[in-house]
Amino acid sequence: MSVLRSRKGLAALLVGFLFGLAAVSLAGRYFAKHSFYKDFTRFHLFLSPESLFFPTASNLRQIVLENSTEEQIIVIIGGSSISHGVGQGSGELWTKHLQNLLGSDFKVFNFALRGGAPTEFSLVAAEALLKQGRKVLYAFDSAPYFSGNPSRLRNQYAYWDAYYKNMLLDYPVRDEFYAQHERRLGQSEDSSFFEELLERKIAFKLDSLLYFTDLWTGIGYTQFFTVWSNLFSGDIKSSLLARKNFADDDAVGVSMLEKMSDQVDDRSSIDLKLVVGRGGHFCEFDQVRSTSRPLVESVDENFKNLPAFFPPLMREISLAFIPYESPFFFKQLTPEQKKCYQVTYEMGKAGYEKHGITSRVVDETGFTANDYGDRVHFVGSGGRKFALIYAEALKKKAMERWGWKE
Amino acid sequence: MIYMTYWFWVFAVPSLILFYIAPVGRAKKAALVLSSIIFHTHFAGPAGVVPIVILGIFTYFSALSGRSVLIKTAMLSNVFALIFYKYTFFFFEHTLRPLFPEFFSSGSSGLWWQSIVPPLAISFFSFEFIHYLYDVLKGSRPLKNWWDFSLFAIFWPSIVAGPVKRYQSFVDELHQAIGRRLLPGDAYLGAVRIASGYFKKIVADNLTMYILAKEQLFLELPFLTRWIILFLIAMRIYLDFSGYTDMALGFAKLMGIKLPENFNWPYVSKNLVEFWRRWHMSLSLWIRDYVYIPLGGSRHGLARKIFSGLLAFFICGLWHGAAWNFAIWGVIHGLGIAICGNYRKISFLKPVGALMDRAPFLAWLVTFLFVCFSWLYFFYPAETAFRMMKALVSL
Repeated sequence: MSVLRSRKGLAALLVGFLFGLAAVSLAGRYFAKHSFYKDFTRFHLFLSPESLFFPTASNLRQIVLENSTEEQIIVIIGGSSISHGVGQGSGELWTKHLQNLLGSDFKVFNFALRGGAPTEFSLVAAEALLKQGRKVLYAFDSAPYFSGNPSRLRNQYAYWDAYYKNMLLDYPVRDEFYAQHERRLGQSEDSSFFEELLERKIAFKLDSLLYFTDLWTGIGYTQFFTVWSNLFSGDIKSSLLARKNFADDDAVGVSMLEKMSDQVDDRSSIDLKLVVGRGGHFCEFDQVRSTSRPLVESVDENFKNLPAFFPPLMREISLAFIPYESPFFFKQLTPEQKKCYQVTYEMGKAGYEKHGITSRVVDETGFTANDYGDRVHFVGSGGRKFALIYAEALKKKAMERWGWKE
Repeated sequence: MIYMTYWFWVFAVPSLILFYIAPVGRAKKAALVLSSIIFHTHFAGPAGVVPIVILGIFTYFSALSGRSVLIKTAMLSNVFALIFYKYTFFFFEHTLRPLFPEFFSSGSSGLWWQSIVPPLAISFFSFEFIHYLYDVLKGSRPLKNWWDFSLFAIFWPSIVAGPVKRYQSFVDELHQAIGRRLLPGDAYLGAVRIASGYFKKIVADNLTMYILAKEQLFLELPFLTRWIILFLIAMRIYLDFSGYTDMALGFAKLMGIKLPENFNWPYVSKNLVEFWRRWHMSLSLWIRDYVYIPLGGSRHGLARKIFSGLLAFFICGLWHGAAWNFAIWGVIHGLGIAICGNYRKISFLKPVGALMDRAPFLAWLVTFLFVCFSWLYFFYPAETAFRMMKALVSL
């Protein structure tokens, strides 16, 4: 104790602190350069930000680099819970079927997250790999409109992580977009989004020097976890366990019709309103007069921020899939509503294609209500059909881009 | 939360380095003033800084003038500012509106008091300014140096969560700190204190998440789990608040400045009087010196003593937050203190006092349970707290 209170002791303390900092930073860099995820299939609940586990941009990159060859065409699956495979157990996951359909020339990685958007987490992974010179295709599910506000994206941290670690393509348009976004937030009355952005930027700027996020993610996966999450209910011990101990335990999907047996529950009427509401984003729908009018201008407005998220090179390798909701609901729409719905989805497709992203509406053709576990998520059978549509488009894209032949 | 932000570290490390490399004397003081202004402006924003600057200038010049009328006016201004910023909304929305609903029936939004935003740490600023003015009024020497006063007001480690400083000891510490190079012992103690604070805060934040998830189902939880949650609530507030204090004291110590302690193992107390000597000590001493004693303290008989104590704790409760549950929490403690501070003097309570004296474990248990139960009123609306208490005593 008294030694520490002398000048020599103080110097030793300072040197020790700096050595410690250097050591943990090196450990963080180690975790950033080695994938520790065993038998990765997807970022399931216990490996996702929902459970306060934040896979880093380096993690995403390393998973791909260590599980693929230079010759393989990398397929990054992004988007929401639909692509994540909610409603499908890990054994019947649609991306496993996609891998089988594509064959060994391709390597599929499912980086879609529950509640995720195509403009964040998975996009970062695809771009980082593109920068490394890998052959990448980025395929994602999307709603028929564009999630273009960075402050509304739940997993936007990965962008700043990759940005400050210089993992992304140089793209001044995006830099200017974010600078403008920051200025707008700074002038807003509600300063919370601005403060959140500022904190995130400082955090990942520091992280690009110290690699503490990679260190804690690595420790959290391999050794122990330090943050309690309500996913563990009352089980404090489980919350401290390393995340490698948690399996991807999404149950095997049961179709919505089976769950409902022969009676329609309250949820289905709420969901029907949501399905009708989808049309409302792009067409003016008057339920009283039962008329609809497409809002053509809104496509330009809605997709205006897309170029800021997708650098030109990324647009060339991206494929947007806009899946309909369950036919169970679609069939209940009036002809007028169906028309509106169809127009909406076609406009979503047009929005992507306007900016050079290959896009496809996945309509109800070939799908039955039994393929869905709820309004939007596929069960195993639906996932297999979904995979077929993806495989066809991905192969075509690979042929166009690299002259790939079956 | 401020100490847990990345911005804070980006601010704190260069600020400390600047303080260390600045030559001994005025330059060190200037470095400290600069960093404190940056800290306060960043977290409070211009709208939060202006009222404090105005209050500070008025407080400083009033004290310097030595004129009793001006000093009293400045004290009243501080009291008014605190009431205005912190309690106007509470007064209209949670006191008048329930009493006179017909008067407020014309509208429930867009009213002027709904847009009042309290400046950051107004409770701490006003209490420290009042202490300063009161002491000057009672004969202490005012601070002549504006920078000394500024640092007493906005010394960055203590802005957010105290402790409530006394200007005499703070300025002594400040002058010593800027007049020498950092002592190795201070650096060591400061670093240890900061580490301890962060550890406590991380545990407290985990507990917070756990409690938040459980509290909604509190009434349905098994009996034993309800009690565990109660103890975790008690641990959470202690770890959270004392963690913050540790960080504040640690950062100050890294600059060679000793701030007053706030906590001294409060949960080992064997009676409530002792608890308040160990819990948030800088506030309880402030309440004693500037509310309880001026109200008469124990000098005017038992009834007046109890009344002064209750009023002091009522104010103490409301100081923590503008809501009735805080006031109830304060009054509960006021009643508890009234009983345990006087049971030796009240004939029918003497046996209780004797029992507590003979059985220290029982005294500790009763005190601890009393404090734990009272936390329910601190954290939850009165009705919810009462329901939780009932659930704790019924199987």
